[in-house]
Amino acid sequence: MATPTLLLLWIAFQGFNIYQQLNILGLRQILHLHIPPKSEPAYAVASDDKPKPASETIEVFVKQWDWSFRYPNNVTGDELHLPVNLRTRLNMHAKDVLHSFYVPKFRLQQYIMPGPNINLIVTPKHIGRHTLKDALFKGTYFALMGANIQVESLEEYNQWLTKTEKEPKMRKNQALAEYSQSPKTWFKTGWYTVLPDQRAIGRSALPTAVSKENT
Amino acid sequence: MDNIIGYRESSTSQNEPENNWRRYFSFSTDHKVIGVQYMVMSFIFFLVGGLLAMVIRAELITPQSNVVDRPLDNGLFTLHGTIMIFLWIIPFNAGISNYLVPLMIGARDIAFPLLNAISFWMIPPGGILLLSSFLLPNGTAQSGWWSYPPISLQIPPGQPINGELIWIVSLVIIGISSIMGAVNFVTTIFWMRAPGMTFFRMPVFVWSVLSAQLLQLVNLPSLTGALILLLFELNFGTQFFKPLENGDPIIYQHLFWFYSHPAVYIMALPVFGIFAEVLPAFSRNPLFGYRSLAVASLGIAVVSIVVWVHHMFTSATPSWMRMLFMVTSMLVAVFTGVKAFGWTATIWKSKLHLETPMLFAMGRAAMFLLGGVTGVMLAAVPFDIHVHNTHFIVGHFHYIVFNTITMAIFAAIYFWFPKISGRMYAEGWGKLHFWLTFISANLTFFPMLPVGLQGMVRRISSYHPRYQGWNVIASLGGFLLGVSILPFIGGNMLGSWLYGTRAVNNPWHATGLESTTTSPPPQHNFDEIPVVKRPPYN
Repeated sequence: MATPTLLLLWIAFQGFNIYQQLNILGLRQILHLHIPPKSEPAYAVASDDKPKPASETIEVFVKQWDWSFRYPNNVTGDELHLPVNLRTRLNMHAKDVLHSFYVPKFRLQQYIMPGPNINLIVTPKHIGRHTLKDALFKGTYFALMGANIQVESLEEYNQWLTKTEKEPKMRKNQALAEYSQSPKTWFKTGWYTVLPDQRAIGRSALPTAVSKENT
Repeated sequence: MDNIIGYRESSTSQNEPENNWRRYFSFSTDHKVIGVQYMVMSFIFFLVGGLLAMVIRAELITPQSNVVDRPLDNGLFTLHGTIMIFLWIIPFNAGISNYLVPLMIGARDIAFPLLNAISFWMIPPGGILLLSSFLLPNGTAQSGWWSYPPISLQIPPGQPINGELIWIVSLVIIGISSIMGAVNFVTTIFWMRAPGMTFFRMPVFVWSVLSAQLLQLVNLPSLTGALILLLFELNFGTQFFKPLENGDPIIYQHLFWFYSHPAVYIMALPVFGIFAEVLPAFSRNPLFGYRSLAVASLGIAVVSIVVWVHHMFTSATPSWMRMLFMVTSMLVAVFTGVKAFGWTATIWKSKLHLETPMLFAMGRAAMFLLGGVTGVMLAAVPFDIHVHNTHFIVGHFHYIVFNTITMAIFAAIYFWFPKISGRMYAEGWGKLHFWLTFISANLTFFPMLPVGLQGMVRRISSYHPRYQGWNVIASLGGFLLGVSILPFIGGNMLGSWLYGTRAVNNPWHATGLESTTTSPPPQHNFDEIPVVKRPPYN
């Protein structure tokens, strides 16, 4: 009885330590995460790597069924670009239902709720291309909810921002594309589904459920 | 209870197993008949749920969505989860407990026989109602077995009768039936024990049933309440959970998991009890550490009441809550560890008799190790934040609910089949069933662990092609798992029930009170209520 208890308490202690790193120092090569939405974290651990305030804030919007991002110079896009080694605050807004911001490469996941804004501070440490997923099930086209994450140097990031400001890219919406055609499956039911939301990103607006005509 | 005394005169010789199958379709108040009714009915739902799962696996064999359209796939996994939990494992446990508890504690019947029959007869209508939602124009509930709002509130407009409503109503019916069953079991165990059957002379199975049913009493009202609130949200425009109308969807998650985490223990505890009966019989050893195993059942039950937030580590949960529930979740492993050590010590250095029930029990113990280790991994917050909502969770959960619980249920069926039917099962078919199940269950559920670690999200019908390899293995394993049930149904349950050789009273050299009566037991269980003078497992 005592041995398993001690073993598990040790595992719990290790878990707590890693969680602290996640919270304050950034998981070795990966990132900074801070969860409490309103307050700054308590810097309990004396550390020379004391977090600085985030230098970049990106608004993340998610709805059924796509992601979009708004950068400080009002550029919007469907790709998340992050400057490497820089604290970036992701200010996340869900429009309709619960979503979950999940980047497998970052080992990170956070639910997003309509209503309160959820902040997540990340400091990516490696340049590369990753996938952002929505992990929390949310209806018909859930499987299509992916977005690309590009971690790049600050210069490249700024270049990309100016370039996109001049020539905004067309946003593609996979859910809408699939919705507009009959499913390519062997068996079709034509059951009701919420219509993919096409409207531009924003904060207001209630979710609208529009019936798909039964064919 | 007056009907119990009445049976005394009719104690005829029970040597010939009566083939009076009609009573299984009647409104009987005999706990043995009700037990068999529960078990057979839940097994039919198990087959239905398994078929749904095989369609899901067929969909996942390719990265594209090409077998069933997405709304149907969502409906399939919603109903698969609901059926397997609420219509297979929990009713089956109610059935085997119904059959065995009065026999094991030396009672003539359960405390409230009529209530017992009513709780059984509520379940088939609930289950059929749930399945009938496939016939609705807009189909079944499609929001997963959690049915989290707001996604569960996205129903076809202008259709008050919809899959979600049916789902809620049938779950409320089944929930009320379970609460009534729990009242019955707890009362029986407290008040109907034979003379001399003190608490510490009860078999561990009875202890674990007591713990599980106490959990039902404490926690199930929370789920039933949450479902009724959800019904109000759905049909009467209340705003408890609607985030855009000042409701809080997280409250639903708390209410839901406050039952649905302990539900895992409600399913697992009786199974731990089955294990404590099967192992001593086939190793011909007394159970090691009887008292600690008995108390550990209660320990698991108590701790499991305060672990539910580990399903919500990523739901904007404050840090202190994450840490607290990480530690409590890990404490569960302490009590489970006590049990595992007890089982190991029981078979330590004994001559094993590897008949089918023992094979199932040992196969299940090996796989429970993997299920338990992944459970401790998931309790650690940093790890859970990564794999939450991925196939890793699905793999872990199925290692518990299929590879542990369902395997142990098969062990129990084989172990008590001679007692229930009065006939022996066919050993060859049983061994074939075991090996097919063991191999295919691992083929099906192991691939979910690595694929989840790589980031494959659960509840999807199309995925990135890089995950395909593991998914093909899982799907083929899933189909083999479907085949593995055939020797069980055809070879054993039907064949042996009709043509099996006659069973003696105690084919396994077991020590429980149920082995002292005839196989099958007479309607009044014991010709004379036994007086218990010894501790169990001697």
